[in-house]
Amino acid sequence: MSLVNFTTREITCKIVYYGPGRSGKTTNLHYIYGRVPNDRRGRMVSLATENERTLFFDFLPLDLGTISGFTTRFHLYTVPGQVYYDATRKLVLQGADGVVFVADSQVRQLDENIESLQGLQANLVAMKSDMRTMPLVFQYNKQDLPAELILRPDDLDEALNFWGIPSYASDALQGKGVFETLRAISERVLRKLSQEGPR
Amino acid sequence: MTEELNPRLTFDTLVVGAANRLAVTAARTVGESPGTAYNPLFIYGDSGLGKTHLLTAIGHLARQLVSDADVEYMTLDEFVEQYHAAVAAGQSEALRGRFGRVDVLLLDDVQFLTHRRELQAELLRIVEHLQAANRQIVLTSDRPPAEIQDLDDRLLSRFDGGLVVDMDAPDYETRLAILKRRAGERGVPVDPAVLDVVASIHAHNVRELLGLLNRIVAYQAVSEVPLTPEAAHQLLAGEVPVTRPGVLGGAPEAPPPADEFTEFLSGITQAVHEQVGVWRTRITECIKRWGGEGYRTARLEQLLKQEVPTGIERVIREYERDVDRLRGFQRAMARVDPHRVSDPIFYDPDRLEEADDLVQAALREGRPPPGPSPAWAFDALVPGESNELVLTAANAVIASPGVVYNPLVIVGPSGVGKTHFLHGIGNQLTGSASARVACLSAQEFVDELLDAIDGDRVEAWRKRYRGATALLLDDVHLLAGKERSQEELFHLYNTLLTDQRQMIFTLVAVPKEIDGLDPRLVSRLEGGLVAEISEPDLELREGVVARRLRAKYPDVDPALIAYLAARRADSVRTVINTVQRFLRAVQAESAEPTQAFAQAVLEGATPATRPSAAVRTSGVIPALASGVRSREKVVWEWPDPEQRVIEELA
Amino acid sequence: MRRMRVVEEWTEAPLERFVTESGARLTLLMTPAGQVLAQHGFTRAVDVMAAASLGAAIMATGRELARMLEEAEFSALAHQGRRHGIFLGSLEGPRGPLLALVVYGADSSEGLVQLFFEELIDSLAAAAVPPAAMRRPLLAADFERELNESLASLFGR
Repeated sequence: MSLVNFTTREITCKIVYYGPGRSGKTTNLHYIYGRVPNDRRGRMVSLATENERTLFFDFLPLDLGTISGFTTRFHLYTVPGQVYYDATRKLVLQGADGVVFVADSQVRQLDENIESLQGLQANLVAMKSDMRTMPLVFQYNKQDLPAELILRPDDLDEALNFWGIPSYASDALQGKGVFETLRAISERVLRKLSQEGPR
Repeated sequence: MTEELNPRLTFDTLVVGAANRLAVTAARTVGESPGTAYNPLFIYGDSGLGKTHLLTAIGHLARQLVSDADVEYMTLDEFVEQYHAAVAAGQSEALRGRFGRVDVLLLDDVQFLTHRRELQAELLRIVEHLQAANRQIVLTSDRPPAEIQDLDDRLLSRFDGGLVVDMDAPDYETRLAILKRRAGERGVPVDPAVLDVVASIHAHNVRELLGLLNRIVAYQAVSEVPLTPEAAHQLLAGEVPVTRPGVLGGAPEAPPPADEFTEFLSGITQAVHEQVGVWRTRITECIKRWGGEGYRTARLEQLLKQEVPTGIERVIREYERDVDRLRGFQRAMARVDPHRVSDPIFYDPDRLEEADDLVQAALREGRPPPGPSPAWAFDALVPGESNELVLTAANAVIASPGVVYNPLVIVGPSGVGKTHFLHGIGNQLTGSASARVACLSAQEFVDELLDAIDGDRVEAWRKRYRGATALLLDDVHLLAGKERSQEELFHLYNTLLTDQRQMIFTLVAVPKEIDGLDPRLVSRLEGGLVAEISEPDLELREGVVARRLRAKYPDVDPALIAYLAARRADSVRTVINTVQRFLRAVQAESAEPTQAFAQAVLEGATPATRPSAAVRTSGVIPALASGVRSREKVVWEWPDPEQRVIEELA
Repeated sequence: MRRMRVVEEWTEAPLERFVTESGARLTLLMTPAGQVLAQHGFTRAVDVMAAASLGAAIMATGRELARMLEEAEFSALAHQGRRHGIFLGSLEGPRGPLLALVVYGADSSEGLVQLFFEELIDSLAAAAVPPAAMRRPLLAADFERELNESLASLFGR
C-alpha cells in the first residue's frame, strides 16, 4: 500500500490493533468511532461471531481531511485474538504501516500476552519486517481493574517490552489512553517516512 | 567586456544602519565622484554583511551619473583568471592597458591575494596606474589589509593611504528594517510581530537573517493557518509549531479545546506537516537556488519524484557538500588552466570523481603551453621553388614527428612565410587528442621565463614545456644575448630530443651567422635540418597573387595575375601588400580589375598611390624599366649607388 | 486411510454418506465462528484451524456484503481452481447455523457436491439430537477452551 502519494496528494495509513483475545482491541475502535465526527469517519465494519468475538477483523476508516495539501486517511483494523485464528490474522496484518499491541493487564493473562507477542514477531518476520522496523506502540489496557488483579505498566514493560517501545496505559471502555495511543502510532508511522526507504 | 552588475544591488535596496553607515557614506561619495575622494577605498567585513552589495551599488551610481563611465566589477578569482589567460596568450600588455583605462575598478574578495606574489605585483602596477590617472579603485575583503597574509608592503601602504572602512553585523533595528524590506519585496505578508521575533534573533550576518526569513515564508506557504509569534519562535528554534485549525494567529491566549479528537487531529496535522509539507518546499527551494547558479539538480529532483521522501536533510547536505567540493575543484582548475573553468563537469555534482580527475590531471601537467594559431592553415601555404625544400621537410615531419628531421630549422628573411609554416605545421600536429604542441615566439618564451623567475615558479614553467609533444619556436635569433633563456632552451632541447619530440625553429639567418647565440645551442640547431626559404620565385608569387585575386574576382584576367606576379618581391608579404594595394585602388575608384589599371596604379602617376617627390631615406629607386622596387632594405639587395646619388640630387 | 472424525456422534453418518457420494476430498463442518464439528481428509490440526478460520472469514465477509446490499444472505459460494474446487455452504443446524467447507477434485464437480449437500442438510436435520439434550451455549470465557477441545477430540489425545 502506498503510504504517501505525491501524484494524487494522498496519505493513507493502515494501523492494525493486535493482541490476545479480548484484550480490548475492538473496544479501542468502538471508542474512536464514538468520538470522531460523522464527516470524518466511514462505516465501521465488524466481522464477528455471535458472541461478538472478532472473527476476521474490524475496520474503521478515518478521513482526516486535507492536511498540508494532502488528503489524509487512516484505516484502523483489529485482528481476532485467539491463537486459533492465526491464518486470518496474518491476512489482516498484511500491508500494515503500524501496529498497536493491546495487552491485557490482568495477571492471569500474562501468558496469553506473551504468546500473542511471539506470534506477532513471527508474523512480522514472515512479512520481511520485525519489531524494530515496524512502527509499534504498546497499550496496556484494563488498567482500571482492581490493583491486585493487574500488573502495572512498569511491570508490563519489563515483562513484554524488550525493545523500549513507547507504551501507554489505557482503559479502553472509558476511552482513557485510546487517542494518545492512536496519535503515538500515527506519528511514528509518519516519522518513519523520512528515516527509512520505501517498503 | 564588463560583467553585468546585478541590477538589484543598488544604494536604494541597501539598508543603512549603525554598523555600515560609514562604509555606505564613503561608498556614496566614491560613486558620485570617482577618483577624487578616497582612493583606493578598501571595505572589509565578515561574509554576508553586504560588501558585494555595496561594491555593486557604487558601480551603478557611477554609471548613473556618467552614462559612459567604464566600470569594471570582478572578484579577485576572476581577475586571476583573466590575468593568466592574458599571459598565456602573450597579451599581458593589452590586459594592463585595459585595466589602466577603467574609470572605476571594483575588486571583490581580495583576501585571496594571499601568497600570490606575481599577482600582487600586477595589481600594484594597475593600482599605481589608476591612481596616477585619478581613476577609482574599490576593493573588498573579509579582513583588513594588515591581516592579509604575505601582502606586498607597497600594496599595503597604498591601501592605507586611501580609506579603509569596516562593515559590522547589523543591529536589531537594522535587522528589522532589512526584514521588512525583504518581506515587502517578496510580496509576502508577514505579521510584524513575527518579524520582530526574527529580528530579535542575533543573526550574525544578513545572509543568515534572510535564511531565517525564508523559513518563515516557507512555513507560511504550506500552512493553512497564519503564523503566530510563538509559533515563529518555535519554528526558528528548530521545533515545529502546533497549528490549530480554527484558531487564528494573533490570539495566543486561547486555551486548547478539550475535544479529544480535535487534539488528536492537531497532533496529526503537526506530524503530517513536519514530515510532508516542509520538506517539499525545502527541496524546491534548494533546486531553485542551485539550479539558478548553474548546477545540475537532477539528484534533488529525484527526491521530489519519490512517493516517500527518504532522508531529505541528508541528501541535501550531501548535495551541498558536493557542490562545495566542485567549487574547490573549480578554484584549483582556475589556478592552473583558467580556460577550462567553465567545463560543465564543474557544475554536475554527480560527476565529482571526474572533476577531481580532471583537476588532478591538469595539476600534473600544468597549464598547457601556448599552441599554434589556427589562423595559419597549413593548406593555405602556396608552394613554389623558393620554399620547396621546407615544404617537403614539413610534410615529412607531419607524417612522422620526432623521427625524421629533428630539429627542423627554417631560415629565411622576414615575410617569406616562416611563421606561417611554423603555425601551419603546428596545426597539423595537433591532430591527435593527446598532442600538446607548444608554438610561440622566442620573445614570448623569454617573457614567460622572466615571469616565472619573478614569481619563483621556474620549475613549474619548465614542466610545462617538458610536457609538450612538440616545441615550435619562432624567431630564435631574438634569444641572442639572453643567456638564461638560451640555457633553458638548451636543457629543454636535450629533454625533448631524448623523448623524440619534434622541434621546429625559425630564424632570419642560419644559426652560425647570428651573434650572441651560445655555441652549444648553435651546434644543436645546425645538427638538424636547416632549410632555407628564399625570396618567393615566380611560381610562388603567381600562386599567391592568383589565390588572393580569385578570392575576390573569380574570373580574373590571367594577364593581370602574370603582371602582378612578374614584379620582383623579396618576400611573400611584399607580394601580398602589392595585391592589397591594387585591390584597394580598384575599390576606391570603382574600376575594373585589369592589367592596365594595375599598371596605372603601381607605376603610374595617380596621386593617391604615387610616392611623393620628397627626399627619401630608404632605397626606393624609381626605375621605369624594372618597376618600383620594395622600400625594404634586405641584406642582399642594396640600391645601386649610382642611382642613389641621382635621387638625392633630384 | 482417511477417516471421518466428529465431535458429536449424530453428525457422523450423514457426513459419511455425503463424502462417499460426492467424492469430496476434504470436508469440514463448523460453526460460523470457525469451530469445527467434524472433519474428513485433514491430517494436521493446523491445516484444520487455517481452513476453518479462513472459511468462516469468507462466509462472514459475504454475509456483511449481503447486508450492505440489503440482500438476504448468500447461502453458497464456490471457487473453481484447476485441480480443485472449493464449495462453502451454510445450513441451518438444529442448534443454529453451520458451515460446510468442501474441497473436491477432478473426479467430482460443483454440481455433484451441491446436489449431495442438499441431501446432507436433510439428513442432518433428521439425525439431530433432541433439544433437551442440547448443551448450553458457549460462554465467552470458555470459547478458546472449547475451540481447543474440539481440535483435541478430532485428532485424538
